[in-house]
Amino acid sequence: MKPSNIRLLASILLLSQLRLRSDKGKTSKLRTPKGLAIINTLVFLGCFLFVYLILFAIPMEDSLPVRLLSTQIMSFLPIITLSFMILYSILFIIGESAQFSSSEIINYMPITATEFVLASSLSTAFMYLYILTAVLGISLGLAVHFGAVEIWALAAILSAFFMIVGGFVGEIIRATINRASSSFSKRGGRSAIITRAILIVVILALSQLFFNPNLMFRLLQSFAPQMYVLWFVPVIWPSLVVLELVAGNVMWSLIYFISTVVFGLSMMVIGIALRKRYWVPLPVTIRLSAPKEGKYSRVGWLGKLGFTVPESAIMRKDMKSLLRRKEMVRFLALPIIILIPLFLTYTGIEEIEATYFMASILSFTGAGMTALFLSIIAIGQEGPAIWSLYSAPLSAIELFKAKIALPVMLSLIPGIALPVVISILYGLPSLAAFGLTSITMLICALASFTGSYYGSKYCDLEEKPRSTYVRGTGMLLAFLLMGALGLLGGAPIIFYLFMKPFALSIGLTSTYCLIASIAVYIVLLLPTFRLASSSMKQRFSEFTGT
Amino acid sequence: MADAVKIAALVKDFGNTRAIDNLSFSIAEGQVFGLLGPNGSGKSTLMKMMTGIIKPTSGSISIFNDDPQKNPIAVRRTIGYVPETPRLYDFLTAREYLDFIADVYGVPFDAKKERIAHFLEAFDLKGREDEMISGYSQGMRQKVAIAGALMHKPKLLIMDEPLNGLDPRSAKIVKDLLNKLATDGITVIFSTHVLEIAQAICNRVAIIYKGALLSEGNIGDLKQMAGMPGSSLEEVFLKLTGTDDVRAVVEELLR
Repeated sequence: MKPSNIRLLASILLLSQLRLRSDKGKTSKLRTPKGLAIINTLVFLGCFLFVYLILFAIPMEDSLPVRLLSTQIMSFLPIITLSFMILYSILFIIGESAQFSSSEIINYMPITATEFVLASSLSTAFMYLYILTAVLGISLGLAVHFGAVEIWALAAILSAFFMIVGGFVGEIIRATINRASSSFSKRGGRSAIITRAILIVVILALSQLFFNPNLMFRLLQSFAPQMYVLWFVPVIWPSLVVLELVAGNVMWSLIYFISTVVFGLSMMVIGIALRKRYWVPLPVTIRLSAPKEGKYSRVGWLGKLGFTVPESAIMRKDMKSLLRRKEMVRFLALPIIILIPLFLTYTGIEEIEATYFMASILSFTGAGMTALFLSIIAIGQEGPAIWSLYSAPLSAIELFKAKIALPVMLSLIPGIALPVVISILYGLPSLAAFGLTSITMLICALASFTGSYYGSKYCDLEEKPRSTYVRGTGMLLAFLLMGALGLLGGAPIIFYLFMKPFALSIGLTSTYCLIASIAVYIVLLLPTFRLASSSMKQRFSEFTGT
Repeated sequence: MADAVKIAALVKDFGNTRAIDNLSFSIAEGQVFGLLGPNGSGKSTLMKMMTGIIKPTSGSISIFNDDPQKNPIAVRRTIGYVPETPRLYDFLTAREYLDFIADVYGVPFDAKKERIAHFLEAFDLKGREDEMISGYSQGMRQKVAIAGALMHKPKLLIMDEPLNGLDPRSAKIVKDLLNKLATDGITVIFSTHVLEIAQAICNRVAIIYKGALLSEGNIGDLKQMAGMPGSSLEEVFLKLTGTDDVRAVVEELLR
């Protein structure tokens, strides 16, 4: 093992992670290890000063409950950092292109598994260091205020160590998933594809559920009194190091400290062993069952909906892309991922206006985001294979129809299901339920047009380890425009909900406001449709090769 | 014989770089036409312009009297195109990919079934046609791409380095296929670095260097023009492109 190899490799892996997030490969000074270090320092100082100054402003007797909580927070720091590292690792692995990772040049270089695992874990830890610097900044604010800096220092060391352990766990997950995915896919065929898609959705949903700050806080609170009961769980050991030290049991604290280090090292050993064994993720050979004479597509029900043979062929291909590509399945999980934190934030609102507002937010966000994401990636997800479409006798209109229809159709599933379920759950009256459903469906169409416009204008056809399919600018602008359109169309209802007495005094009933909102959304459909269609035509005519 | 392709004063600039420099030549119907040139000489750019994928900066291209820029759909219906190292949809099986291509080109259902079965057989893909392309070797991908280009029975076949990654048997199949297509009246344009293949199967050859046409004609014409009647095409090529002095490079590499 050469330390110089680890240092060099870690900096290369870090640079590759930093640069693949940049627009069109542009590099800025902030997208360097030094830039990241500056950002982390600023995050740390900002969080520290924020908490310290707030506590400074609160009288000591009022901040006593926070004092009790601060020890718990510091004891939980290592678990929080480990959890975030594992979450990011899972998200990264799901978004990673298998084709890319199997052909990475690193796989063929004279680098040992130990060097790779250490370098990869270090680079991942440094990449997400802002999580640690943020929580350490916050907890330092508490520690300085309550005079527990030495406890904070111990928690900080353990958290930094667990951050790297998180990297080792990430390596273990990567190797296991690559191996499991290969074997599973080889055996399973079509059913494996569906199972894998469902599994990814479940993993994402669970990650979202588990790492929701609201829920995490409640869990930690309920776990705290039983901490000692869970002494046999390794991830709890660093917390016990802190708690035992606070209680004055230095010997036990030392025992848990040594156990923590042994646990971390064993994660490293397992990570290295798995990397050695499954060095390169093998390109998976997935065989799909088909009748002897083969299975060929017909235009089918899409034809009955008015789509031509080429249009329905593109739509079917894109649907397969969504289901079969590991990195694409995450987009199908969107409604669930978006809804979980929103549902968890909702803690029983009693006012009817607030209930309507919450129902609308849940419904519009869940369905609208799905439409926006599915449409914004529609062109970019073609990647370098887009030559097949550009060299084919397809008109821009045909491509546009196919690329817009699938997001609209798919997002209409949550677009209808969500408002119906939410209306039942919240016990909305039939007029409100009708309004919610109609507007959600209109938002799906609007979001699809908006996404299609920015997705074709700012599409990213480059093949990267973790493709985004659309440039950051496009994504940001799409969110902004969609937000503005959503507010514009919803203005009459928002006006009614929050200025009800005034609205009623001028004769504006809920029905009128609902009709007005629906009308505005319908009117907005035309310009957004035109924008999307012209952008797609332009993209189609200005192709300059990839 | 009528011209399948006519190129006149064609120029393509990418920023300050001139990729194609005032090219003019024509290709008669039914010919197998070889585009030769060192790496970066503009062959791929020229082929992409023929399909209408890239717009010329100036000059004109006509494919069966149609302009690929003005009437791209009509032109693409007549063309089969295989890019250099074609990227396919990895999440589809070979059969699904060919099915998709056939649908996009409007091949009728029965003809599609028949042709896909035929190509799978001919290109030795039978038995692996229902595996996802992600597990295919480069050669297998190349075969799928070539089958896709032939799916709609094009009048003009444009192939960029079609023999890349093919095993000797598949390469022989492609060479025989090109000859057969030519006898059926289909025009074939292909680029290659394998000069023996160009010598063996091309009716005419154009040598492009730094975007400009150095020479164009049949192999005999080229040898005459270079003043090397008894030489191989490789020697003519190296002389015309000024890249014949390779000894110094080899020595430098071995130092």
